[in-house]
Amino acid sequence: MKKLMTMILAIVMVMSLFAGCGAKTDAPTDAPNELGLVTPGKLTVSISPDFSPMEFVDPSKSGQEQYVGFDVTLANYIATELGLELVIMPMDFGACQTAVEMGTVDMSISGFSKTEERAQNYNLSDFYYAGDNETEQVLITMAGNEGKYTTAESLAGLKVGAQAASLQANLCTNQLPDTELVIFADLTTGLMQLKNGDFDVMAVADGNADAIIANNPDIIKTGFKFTVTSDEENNVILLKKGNDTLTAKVNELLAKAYDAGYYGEWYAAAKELAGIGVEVSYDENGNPIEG
Amino acid sequence: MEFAQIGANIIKIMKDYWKVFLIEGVSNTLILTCIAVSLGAILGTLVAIMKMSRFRVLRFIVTAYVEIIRGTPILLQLYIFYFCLPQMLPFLKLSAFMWVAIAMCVNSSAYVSEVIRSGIQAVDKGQTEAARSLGLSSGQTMRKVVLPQAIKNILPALGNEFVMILKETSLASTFFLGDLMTSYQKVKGATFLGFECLLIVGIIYFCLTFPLSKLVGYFEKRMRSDKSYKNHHKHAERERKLAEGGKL
Repeated sequence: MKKLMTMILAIVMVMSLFAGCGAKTDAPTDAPNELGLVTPGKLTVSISPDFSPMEFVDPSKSGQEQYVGFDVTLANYIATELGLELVIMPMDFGACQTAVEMGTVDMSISGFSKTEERAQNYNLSDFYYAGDNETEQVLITMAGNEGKYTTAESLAGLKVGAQAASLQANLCTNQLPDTELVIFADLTTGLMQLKNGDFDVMAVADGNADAIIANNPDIIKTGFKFTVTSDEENNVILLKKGNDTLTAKVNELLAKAYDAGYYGEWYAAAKELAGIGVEVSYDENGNPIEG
Repeated sequence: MEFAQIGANIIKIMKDYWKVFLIEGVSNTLILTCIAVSLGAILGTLVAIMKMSRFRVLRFIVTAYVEIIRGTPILLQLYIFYFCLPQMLPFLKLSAFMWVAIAMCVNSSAYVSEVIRSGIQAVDKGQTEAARSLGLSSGQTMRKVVLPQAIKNILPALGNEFVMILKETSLASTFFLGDLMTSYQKVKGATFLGFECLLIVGIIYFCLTFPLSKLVGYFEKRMRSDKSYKNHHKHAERERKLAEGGKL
């Protein structure tokens, strides 16, 4: 009998530990919180700052200032427009989504592409446009393979690397059916695998390819480009399922930014910060032309 | 992979990012380790005491605690502490860094409690029996007879626990908490030079753990050859010779 009681007591204790987890209690607040924010007055955003030029760390700064890139600029814009203080919570890509689901953060802006699965489990914002980062999806390979892999036919039988659960992985499956797909966890690991010879070419967004090549002179673009539909070429913001008020507000602001033409500016600034040469063209006398 | 290129890249990275690795990374790793080990040792001692208590309910709960913590991966515990606890305990306004430090400390407490318990139980039972039959109370027996001997078993293992935790803090990089592995994440994200960053971080980790484990080894030796132990042997020798009837 005593044993039974002890068992029950222990089970109840363990259960109570997990029970608190699921039931997200709405924190009692004094101020009205019609946007359903996690912390009233603050906009908390999870990002995975290892994805230059979309989001990365500027080592010359510290604290909240150190997170830079296109998505961070966008987060800043949303927070400012809503009159909230922006709090960036950095974590790895997988944890970014869990954080939204668990209600640890209000939203995640971390270069998410729209997928069926995400739409089922999260509120997705309308698209936002990060220059050519998503509209152009390319393949990169080791220097010395120039001109070898320009068509889908020339890639038949080869191994192609793509990031897990990414747009690139989908593109490879659909558009390069004759290749073998190798999945990697994050871009840098993928790059190491490419150098190691684990696969012949690697699928990345064009902006990332530029950032990679800027620091890795032994990597080149193959010249192959994926066909990207309008549904795939843009990013969305992840919000908690059911938080429609905030989603609507965010969509309003995204439309406003699009109309004002902010996106191009932000993207150019992010690219410059990432150390990717701003594209310079030359006139017939060999002088650089701005733009 | 060209190794000459790697060397050049490492120099380039260190020139731009040495602060991220050597100041931010090292200090955060050490702070996290110190919090986890010191609080873990205190909590672990409490757990060990409870585990040896007379009350079955208490013993059962503590055993369940130790088994659950030791039976699940530390990364999973970090996720749970990071995502669930701040919501369960909203009145505790702790930073993400502190939540992860607490997770580390809870994890280490389970291991430390086992180290302490096994250290105490490794002391020969005859010692307790002899002390009790000489009229010492159970508290006195513990304090004056068992613990001084148990410390010898416990301290080196605790030192090793410190080294272990130092390496395990690398998991905090999942939440970009500024430890050494976070430095790696940050710099590789900005430069896309993954292998070079890994080498740098690996060397720094080794520079931290190697002197530590040497220090632990040194203390272990000191404990083994400590005076009472030597005297005990000399004494035994003398008795043996006396028993043989020889002269000293």
